[in-house]
Amino acid sequence: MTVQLDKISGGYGDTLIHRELSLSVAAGEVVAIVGRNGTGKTTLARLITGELPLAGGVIRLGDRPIRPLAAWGRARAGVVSMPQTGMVFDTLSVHENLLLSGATPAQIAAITRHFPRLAERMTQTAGSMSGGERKILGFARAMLMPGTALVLDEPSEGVQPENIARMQALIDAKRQAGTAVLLLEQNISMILAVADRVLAMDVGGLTFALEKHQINREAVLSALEI
Amino acid sequence: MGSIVGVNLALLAALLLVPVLGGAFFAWQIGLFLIYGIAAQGVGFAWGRGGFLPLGNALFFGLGAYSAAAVLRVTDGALLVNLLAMLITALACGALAFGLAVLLFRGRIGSGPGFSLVTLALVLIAGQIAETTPALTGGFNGLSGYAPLAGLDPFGAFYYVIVALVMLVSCGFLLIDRLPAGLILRGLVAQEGRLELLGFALHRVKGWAFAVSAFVTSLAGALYASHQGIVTPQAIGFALSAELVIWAAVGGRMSPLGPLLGAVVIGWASATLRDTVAWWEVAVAAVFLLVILFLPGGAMDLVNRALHRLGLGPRPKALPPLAAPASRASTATGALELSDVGLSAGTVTILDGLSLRAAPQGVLCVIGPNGAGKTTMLNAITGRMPTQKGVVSLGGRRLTGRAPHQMLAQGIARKMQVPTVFAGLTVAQNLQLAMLAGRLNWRDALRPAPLRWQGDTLAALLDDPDVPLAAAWLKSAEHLPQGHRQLLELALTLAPDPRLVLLDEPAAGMSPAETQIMVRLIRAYQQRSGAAVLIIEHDMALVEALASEVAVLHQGRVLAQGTLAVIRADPQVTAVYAGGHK
Amino acid sequence: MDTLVLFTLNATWQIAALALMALGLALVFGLLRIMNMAHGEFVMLGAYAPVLAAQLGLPALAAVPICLMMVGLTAWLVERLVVRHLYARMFDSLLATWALSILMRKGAELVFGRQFRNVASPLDGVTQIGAIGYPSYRLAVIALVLAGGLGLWLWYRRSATGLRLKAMVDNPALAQAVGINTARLSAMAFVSGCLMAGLAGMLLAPTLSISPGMGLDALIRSFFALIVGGLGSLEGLALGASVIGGLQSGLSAAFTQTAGYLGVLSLAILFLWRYPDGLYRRR
Repeated sequence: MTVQLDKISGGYGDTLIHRELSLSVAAGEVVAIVGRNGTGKTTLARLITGELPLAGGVIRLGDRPIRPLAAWGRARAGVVSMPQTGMVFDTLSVHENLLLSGATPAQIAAITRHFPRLAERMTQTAGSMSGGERKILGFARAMLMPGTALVLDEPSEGVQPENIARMQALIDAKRQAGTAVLLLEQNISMILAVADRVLAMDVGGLTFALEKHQINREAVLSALEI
Repeated sequence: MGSIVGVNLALLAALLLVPVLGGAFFAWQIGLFLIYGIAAQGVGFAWGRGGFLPLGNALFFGLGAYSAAAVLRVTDGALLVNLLAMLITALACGALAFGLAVLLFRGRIGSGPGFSLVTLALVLIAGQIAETTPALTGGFNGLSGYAPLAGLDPFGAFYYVIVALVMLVSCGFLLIDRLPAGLILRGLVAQEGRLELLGFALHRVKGWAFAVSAFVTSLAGALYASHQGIVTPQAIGFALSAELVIWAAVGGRMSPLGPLLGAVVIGWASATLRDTVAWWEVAVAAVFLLVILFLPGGAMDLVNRALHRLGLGPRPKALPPLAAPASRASTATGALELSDVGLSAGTVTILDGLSLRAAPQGVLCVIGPNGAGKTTMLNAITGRMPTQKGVVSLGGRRLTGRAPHQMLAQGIARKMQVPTVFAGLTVAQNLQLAMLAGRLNWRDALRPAPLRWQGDTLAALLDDPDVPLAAAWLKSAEHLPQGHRQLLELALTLAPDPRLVLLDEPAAGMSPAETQIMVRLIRAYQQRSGAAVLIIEHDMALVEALASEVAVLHQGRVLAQGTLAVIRADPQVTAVYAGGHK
Repeated sequence: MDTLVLFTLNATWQIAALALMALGLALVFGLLRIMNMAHGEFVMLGAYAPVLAAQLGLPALAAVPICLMMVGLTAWLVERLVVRHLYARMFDSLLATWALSILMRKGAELVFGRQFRNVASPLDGVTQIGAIGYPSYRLAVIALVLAGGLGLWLWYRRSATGLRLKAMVDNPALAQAVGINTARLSAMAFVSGCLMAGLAGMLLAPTLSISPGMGLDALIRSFFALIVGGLGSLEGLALGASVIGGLQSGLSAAFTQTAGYLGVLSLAILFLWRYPDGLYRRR
């Protein structure tokens, strides 16, 4: 389903990080937002998922305004997210983390075939795994949740290339299934592999957009220059 | 000073009218609740001005009462001896409270529940001892059979002794509010982290507040002994401690007179109505709950608001500023050096052998991805987090191992990442506090003149046409728009004339135009004072405009340091920012 | 030998009773980070359930539904009107629940009267253990506490609700992101904690003298057990109840009741000051 942000503002308390930011992600489209750290990507993700309250603007999922919903309500309405940090329940086991997605044992078994690492560590607590493994677990949990929109905040950080490739395949599958995917990333190869559109973000807002045919390494890199 | 005199004269007149209008017995009844009221003022002071809630202040009340009764028994009420004994007991209580607070607050106990619960346990212990050691306290029967202080009749002349103490204590508390000491206490309650950065030792400030609270409460207890003619474990129990808190809360802990009002009105009404109106105590408890939930300032808050609306509220007079003495911060000089600093929290290593040098002058900008350890580095410099290895030094003087409140004396001031202005205080009061920082000695805390101090740095900031703080002089600081609050924050940081300024995201949430103003102000201070400025910032426009040098932090280490051009050309840096683009 | 057996029985009883009494407080703190100062008053309310059942001439078991209704309704109202607004504000919630405790105590005085009451034990008689006769009811409560504690521990570990609770405690933001209605789960946890307190009061009623003011003692003893054990876990609760209950029975047996009480208070101060995390620390 289409996710549409219409002039949203918000941040921490009355420290506004975004002012009147608009963008939309169509069903079956992967939009990547690139920008250096500190430019407000994570804040944007939190505003969409409801972890932070909006100071203004409208968010729609399809035709439905989801601003009145609390974070849990948005998750149930179909906005699935993977936060950048705290993406797993540290004190719970890998299996429990996956169970909380609401998936069936068969679905859990299926996803762990993509990430054999998880299958090996089913009973281990998530907090005892490496940063990259936790990213994979958080990503797998997000893939298992039923939803029509997906917000991924730096899923590839610290993850090994072969697992990044599997992540890309799963993101692609979600796109095929008609999910609107918002990908907040700095990993250029992942962006090049999956993005249909790239938006550049700097302190203060979105600076430029690249359509599918314009996406190349140099163009994306220019968004990351300091 | 006009309104203090007015308030006190009104209070005195009201108190003197009590025996005239109500008769001797009524005055005796009210006298008891005035005594409780003084004790409640003590609780209110600790809670409203110290920011911590003592749940066991009956400990000091009881100590004062038992000690006074014991001395009265052996001296037959001789005035001077007893007054002296009262004073010594009260001083001892103050010292006990000071020691207790310093000990607890220096440790891991914050102003939260921990302290309250320790005082609760202490009063339970005291109550238990009072009940079970008849040799010392008379047990359940208590101490009795002594003449009141100077043989004064509790139903007659003794009332005026109580009135005298009420006036003394109330005047004292009202006065403290007008002095630097009172402003420091308000700052403590509003934002203790910022007060610490301004160089005040929190545990000592809290210690003094608790000492005053205990001193006053103990004196009230001493009068109680003469007034009642008997002291039982009731005077040192948890029940009384709880009542004191309720009276302070309902009357208004933020105002010196609130707790007195609460004690007299609720206490007296309870004593009168308890037996006839069955639901009275339920109603009092309900009022207490409602006050906690909806009216943190208590009844006096309503009174003050009403007075304010009628135009009778206190009007701060704008007195001409006085030249401030030189700041102790401005005498330090030298380069900041971190060598091989390691800091971990739990199992996570945040700083991993960090080495960095900031020249004695100029602007060093520190950039790096989130989680690189930038803010933690500032915490390591200012002693907010203990380091596990390495040394931080400024001009060759070792900073490692020092507490945050000692930093200003070393010439270091810091602006935190999250806004930390003193909420609830006016812009003027915020700046007054900043002017006291690094300049105040203990005698200055008790005279009004330092509140008018103004230094060149602050004057220059206030005169700047782009700094709209003077126009918002009497506005509460938390109501300033974000951009202006950042400017206030900068003023708080620079007012003590630091030699090393640590700024954590000074332009966060600012519009580009506001960022330009911030850049200009920082540059102006740096050039005028020749200080070193260390800035953590994501906004490259600011970095570009200000940095004489840039350091890039990554995974708890310095990845590169040099001019911005050098940094931009560094492939390692680009790699970090591009997330290892493969 | 007999005195040793008797001492052991008494100490076990003290520990079991304390653990039972403190369970609700531990639950509410562990799951919600709320220091429920009105905990003792929920114990008190529960203790009045058998009093009411006896007054109404109902069988002893009728105390259970009375307790659940009375305590459950009060707790639900309290959560709705007061506690809901104070999650994550530890000091405010402490103050507000303290005010609430006074309100509940005074309300109980109004409804039940101030006099002390006793209720007959539903399980009269004495069980012989060697040469010692020990009240059967106490033995039954000890058994119930052991079984109930183990059951609760297993439930928390194994059930779906237990998993969601653990998720909420671990990472509230992520819990919401997986669709857990944390507001409702918190309300449920608070009411359950209060119900535990009420049931503890009901079970301990035959061994206590019941009055509106009994909550303070219940709160303080529970509280100090948790301080010593480590706030907010069942393991910490068991450990703390053992130390506090054991210390109190030991000192009381060796010296006086007062010594036991003072020993507990001093230990609590020491822990508050030096070891605020208690003995049992979670990873």
